[in-house]
Amino acid sequence: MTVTVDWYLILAAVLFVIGAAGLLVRRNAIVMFMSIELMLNAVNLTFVSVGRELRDLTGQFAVFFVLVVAAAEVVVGLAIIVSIFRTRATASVDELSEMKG
Amino acid sequence: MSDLVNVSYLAVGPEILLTLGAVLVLMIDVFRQPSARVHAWIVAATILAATVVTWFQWDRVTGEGPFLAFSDMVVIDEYGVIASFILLLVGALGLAVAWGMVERLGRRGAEGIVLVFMAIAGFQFMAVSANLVMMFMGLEIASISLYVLAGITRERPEADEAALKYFLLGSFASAVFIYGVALAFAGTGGVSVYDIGAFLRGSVLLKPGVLLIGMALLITGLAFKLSAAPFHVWAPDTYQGSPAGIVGFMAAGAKVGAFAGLGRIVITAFPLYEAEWAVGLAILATISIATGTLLAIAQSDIRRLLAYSGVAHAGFILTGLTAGEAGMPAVWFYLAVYTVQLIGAFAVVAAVAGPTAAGSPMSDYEGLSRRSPFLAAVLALFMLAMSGVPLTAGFVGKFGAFAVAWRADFEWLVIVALVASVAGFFFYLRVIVLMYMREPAVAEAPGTMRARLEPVGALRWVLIISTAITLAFGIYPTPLLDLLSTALPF
Amino acid sequence: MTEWIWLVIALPALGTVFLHFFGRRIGEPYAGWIASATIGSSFVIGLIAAVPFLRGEAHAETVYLFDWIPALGAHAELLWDPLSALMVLVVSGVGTLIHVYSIGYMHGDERFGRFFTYMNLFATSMLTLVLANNFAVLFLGWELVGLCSYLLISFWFTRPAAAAAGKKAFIVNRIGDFGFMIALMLVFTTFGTLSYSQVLENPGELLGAGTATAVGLLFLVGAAGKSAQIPLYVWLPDAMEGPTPVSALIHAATMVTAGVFVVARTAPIYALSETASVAVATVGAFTALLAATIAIAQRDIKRVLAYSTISQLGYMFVGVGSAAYVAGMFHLMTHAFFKALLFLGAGSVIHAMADEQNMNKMGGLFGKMKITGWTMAIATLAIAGIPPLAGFWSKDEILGTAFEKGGFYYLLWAIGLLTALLTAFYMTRMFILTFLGKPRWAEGVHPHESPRTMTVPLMVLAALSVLGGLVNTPFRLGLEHFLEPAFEGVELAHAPEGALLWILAAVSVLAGVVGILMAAALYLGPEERRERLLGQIRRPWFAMENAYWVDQMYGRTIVIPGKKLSIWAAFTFDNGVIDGIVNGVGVLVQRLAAALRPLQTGLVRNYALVLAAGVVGLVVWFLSSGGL
Repeated sequence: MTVTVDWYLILAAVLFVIGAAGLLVRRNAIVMFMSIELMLNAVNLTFVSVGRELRDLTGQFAVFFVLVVAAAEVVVGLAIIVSIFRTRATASVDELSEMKG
Repeated sequence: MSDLVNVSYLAVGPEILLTLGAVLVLMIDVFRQPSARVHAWIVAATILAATVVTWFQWDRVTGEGPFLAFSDMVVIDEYGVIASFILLLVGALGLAVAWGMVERLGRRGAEGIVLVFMAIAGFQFMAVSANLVMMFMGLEIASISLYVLAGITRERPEADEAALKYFLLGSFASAVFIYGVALAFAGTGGVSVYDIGAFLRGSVLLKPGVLLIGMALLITGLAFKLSAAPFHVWAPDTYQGSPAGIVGFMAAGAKVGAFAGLGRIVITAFPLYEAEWAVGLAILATISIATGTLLAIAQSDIRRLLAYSGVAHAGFILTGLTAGEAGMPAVWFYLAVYTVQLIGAFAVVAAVAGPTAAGSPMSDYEGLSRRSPFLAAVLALFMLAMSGVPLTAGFVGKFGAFAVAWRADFEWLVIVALVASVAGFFFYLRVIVLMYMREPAVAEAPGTMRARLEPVGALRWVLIISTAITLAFGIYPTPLLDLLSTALPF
Repeated sequence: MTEWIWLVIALPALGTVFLHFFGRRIGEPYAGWIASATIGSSFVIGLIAAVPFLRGEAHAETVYLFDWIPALGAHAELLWDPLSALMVLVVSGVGTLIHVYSIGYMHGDERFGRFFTYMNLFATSMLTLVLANNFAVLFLGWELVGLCSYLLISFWFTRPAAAAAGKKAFIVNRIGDFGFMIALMLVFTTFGTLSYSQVLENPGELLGAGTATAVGLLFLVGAAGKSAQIPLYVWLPDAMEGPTPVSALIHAATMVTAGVFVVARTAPIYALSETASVAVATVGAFTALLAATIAIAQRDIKRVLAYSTISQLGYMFVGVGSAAYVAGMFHLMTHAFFKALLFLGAGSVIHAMADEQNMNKMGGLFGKMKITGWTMAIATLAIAGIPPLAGFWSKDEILGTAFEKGGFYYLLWAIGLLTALLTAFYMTRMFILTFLGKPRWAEGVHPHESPRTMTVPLMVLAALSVLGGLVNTPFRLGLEHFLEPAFEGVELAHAPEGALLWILAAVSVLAGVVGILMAAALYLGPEERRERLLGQIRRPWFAMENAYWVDQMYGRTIVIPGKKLSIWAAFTFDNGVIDGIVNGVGVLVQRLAAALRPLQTGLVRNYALVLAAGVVGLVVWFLSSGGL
């Protein structure tokens, strides 16, 4: 049995869905954020495997951009979460539902 | 052309200038804390310079035609340049509204300026990018700036909440968008909108499913920024919790940037799939119009009302976009005038609530016409314009968007939109009734609610300019309509 | 003069702007005089510009001002033809008189200046509507009229009833506007333009019979909203919560005539669709009857007049729906005269009675208010269709045309005739209860004649109500020759000629006379008899609640079913069904909105779930539509 690019694509899709599911079920802001990181890494996996399959460097380049963006998101995201932790001493997003309707 | 990294400073001139302006503000801030006046000069000079460069772009594009730059990453055409102009206008008006916040936040105020500059640059990149990865970069530059802006008054619990909600959901949507890019790449082997379009025209797809999913994900990612339902859930909470001064810019800028990206993707990359995405957008439009209108009726906070009305307006604009290329002039007219109305309306909100406040309960607007006839009059005008009363630009925009959709055989969608427009009067009118037909409620302690309320300085000018635009293009829309219909479609 | 016709709109518009900024500073009474002067000047300009039409030597002209929205074929362009000329003269002429009258009526109101700002804006909007040369400008006027009516009806917004009435008017009008907007969409997509000159020149070329019917019916929905026809008439009776001059303006000159005008203006489209025309006439006939039966049972003087307006508008719809466009417009004109007179007269009475509107507490005013009394008497006879007053000629022409068309229109004619009898009855009843009999005034009320600014307009309108009908009599069809160029290419229906004409005229006069005599016999008869009759016919529940409503007199003389119908119409149908539908929709929408709100839980995880569901939904949809 040969492992074709499709296997990688399916693995990536599964990872993406796991990440999305994590966002839906976890209530700790940091874990939720890690789920998003997982989704981004699933995207990276898709890019590199398709890029390798097509012998096209675009896929590898794209990964760098995604990584940089992910890093930037981490900075901002953690800053926001820390700020919340300071005022409320919790990182649970369920505590944050003042505004609704 | 694609062999070389064809550098063109003209192509990214506005963005470079905005970034330079942002760096300048930061650098000065490190060495000494300048007065707000110095900041104001830098802001004015930066925006002006960026506008001038955008004008050069326009000159070149109308003279010699569109051009690509940076290995086909960036395309400068009429479409992108018009979007850039609108974004600069939105940014300038937005910063003027936010000026009270910038002054009040002191040191952090300068960061506000920087973030607005970066957000404008990001949205402009979305508008001019010919490459989906590039568009993702623009989207993220803008989004991350907005996340921080939402929480810039971090002492207030609402601001934290608004920022975190916006951040988590926005990152999710961004991840969905970039996965869409990856799947489009997997399906067609390209990430440039031109390559994808050419590939789809020339080849038989081996994996049509992958491409279709990718298309759906791309649309989702941008629909989030548009706050089109069901991807709108963040908008009311974020608008309510963010500082009053900056909400207008957040709402308006995101709409322009996201529509610029969406239009380019569906029209340039997927023209062969128009049958699919047009109906898909029509469905999104229907849900947005229905949800936005219905929920706006039940709101008791004017910012949430404006958020839901913005959801409905996203639906109206999507209605125009269902006509594809033929709908472009109508869509951009709508966007141009609606964003101005939005900023104007939020300027009133900022004036009434104070620049850094969170939340704007409707009760604050009772009897506003007594406390400030000027504010009440302009807010009434924006409400009428948003509801589409003739002689305001809102009417021309709506009629144009609905007419193109009708011609594209989306009669049912137009009828839904018309019903919603009629129903929309209820909540817009409610604001007017509150302002003009209720006595002011000055029950609180003196000082919390000033008896008289007049906008000052930059805010006043924003209101005058946005009123002028709303009226001028309602009474005499011809120049803008002509301009757009000759410049667009690309 | 024609090229200056834009001044007709510009002058009151200027007045609006000026009074908005300086109205308060100028104050009483000069703000009123300025407003009256601007609209009066419009009338003079319109009159001068209409002279060529009167001589029969000019054709319709368009006055181009500037490009507005070329993509829609909509320029700022005015159409000056006999139809718009007639409307301009009616609107500005009657409007001027009402403005002058208001100076006296609004005396002492703290928002005097603001009132005239709105009045001028109202006139501006209506003049824009009638002078439009394309549907976009028409729609502009249409919307502004709706907005102004809201501002004016709820002018005394501190009264809850006034605020509610304004809102109701606005909402019901919006429902009509919805039909109007779809009609505009259809017109635009069919013709690619909204310009009259291209759409109405020869609509048959591009407009299929089915589309013509659809457009016609949709315009009817819009017209029914503005012109208060079934089922959208409910706002008009409540609209009397506004100051009385506003009611006069809404009922006589502006607003409600807009629907009739639009049908007349789009006559070439209605000519293509028999179905749409019949629908217009049918709606009109049934509205006329329904409103007349309701009017009988009212005790508030302004409510009688409000239902009477609805009823008379029904006649106009019968006219324009029978392709008798001239007759419809003719009735619109004469009705403007006598209805304005009636409302202003009622205002004068209300003024004199210290804001009493209940006719039960009036009576015997004739001696105290000679001018008001006489002019009201003239108006009553005019609306009752007694020759040679204005109402006779126009109403008779509509009924005659309906009869001449035959077939289904016989039914409409019969309904119209019955309505004529009822009209005469309730108007006479109103007059007797107000002016004749013994005074039943509340204590401390000292009726007096109104000031000169109020009585002079009454006298002018009375003269017009007497003479206005003479412009179009079977002997001399002046108005018909005047209007004919506006309906070029449309086949006009005509009243019969010869003996039939006179027989029909005699029948309708007879109906009017019978109505008057019945009312006189009942309301001038001895009181004991009324008391006795009252005891016999009133239903227990009804009598306990509203003794006056089961007034024995019409119980005995008009057949019992008729009375039942009017009670049913006044209470069950009007308040229950229609209000129920209007309010019900509002409540339903609000409940739905409230039910949706909890979905926005404020919890990020739920939001993410909504997003995820949206993504999945969109993906599934794309896959299935892509054939996978």
